[in-house]
Amino acid sequence: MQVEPLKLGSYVINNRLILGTGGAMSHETIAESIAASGTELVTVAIRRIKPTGSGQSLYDMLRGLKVQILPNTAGCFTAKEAIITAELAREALETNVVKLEVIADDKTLLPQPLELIDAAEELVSRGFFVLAYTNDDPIFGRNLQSVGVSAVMPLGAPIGTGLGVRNPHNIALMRELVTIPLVLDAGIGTASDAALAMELGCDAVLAATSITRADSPAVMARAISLAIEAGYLAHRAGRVPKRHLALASTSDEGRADL
Amino acid sequence: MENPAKKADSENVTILVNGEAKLVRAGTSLDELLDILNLPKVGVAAALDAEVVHRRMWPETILTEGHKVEILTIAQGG
Repeated sequence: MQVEPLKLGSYVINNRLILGTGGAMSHETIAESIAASGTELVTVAIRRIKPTGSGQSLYDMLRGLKVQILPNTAGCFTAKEAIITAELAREALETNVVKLEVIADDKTLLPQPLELIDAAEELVSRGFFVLAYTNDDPIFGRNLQSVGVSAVMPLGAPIGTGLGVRNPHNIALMRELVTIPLVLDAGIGTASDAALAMELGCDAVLAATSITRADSPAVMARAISLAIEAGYLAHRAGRVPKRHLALASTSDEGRADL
Repeated sequence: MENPAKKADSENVTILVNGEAKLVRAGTSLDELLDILNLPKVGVAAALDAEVVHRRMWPETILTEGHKVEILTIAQGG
């Protein structure tokens, strides 16, 4: 069995890792992590331009690496801010795909659902493919799907915490309720967290901090990419049911009478 | 580009570019502003008074006194 391509809006990816570039020490670190993991899609923020001097800009570097670029609306607290940021991203990158983030405050960085759903609905009406970063509430995931987003991106834990998938049951339930792509976003700490997300039925995983701030980002990028593939296969392989008592794997047939 | 502290007159206008005051010649377009600032024109977007200005409109968008211009590009982000 091979990993099937995944469609996210107008993007198609063959590798199920989406690399968040936030937190990387340098552009080189990002390039090494892209190469090591095989990711085909990276996220970026939209910020004021600074003269780059003689160095290569992030834009030029990513274009040179032939990866697809997914802009986000990081740092937006209101639907209004997120909508104009998405429009600016569309203008800068000539893409209709946007990772929509509307957060409630700087301390938790948790999504603000009321503003989020308003922004999602408006952006969909403006022709965007919206990949919506959200809490792990299965019902709200279904609400997002109903307003026309292209993917639901539940958090495993708050951004940057590395706490893993705190509520696997919610992710599994969301998988049952949401029929569009489900991408675990935020909270990944290490490879096993990504494998779990995929085993729960997620279609892809977005990892930023866990890779960019690891001691060896490229090695962690590779590890998480492998874990995602492992989790993808495990989900489809059909795991054995959990049991209370042991079940011998070796038959008693032919056992000696000693 | 001249001293931004200098008062606007009939030949020049003061605008805010990414939060910083800049004095430019009256009649300068948004497209020309990017040239003056030596900024790239691909991978960037511009907003004027919090409204996105599409790339094709840059040459005919004339900057006037007090305009707030935001010029943005991509940056590292999750």
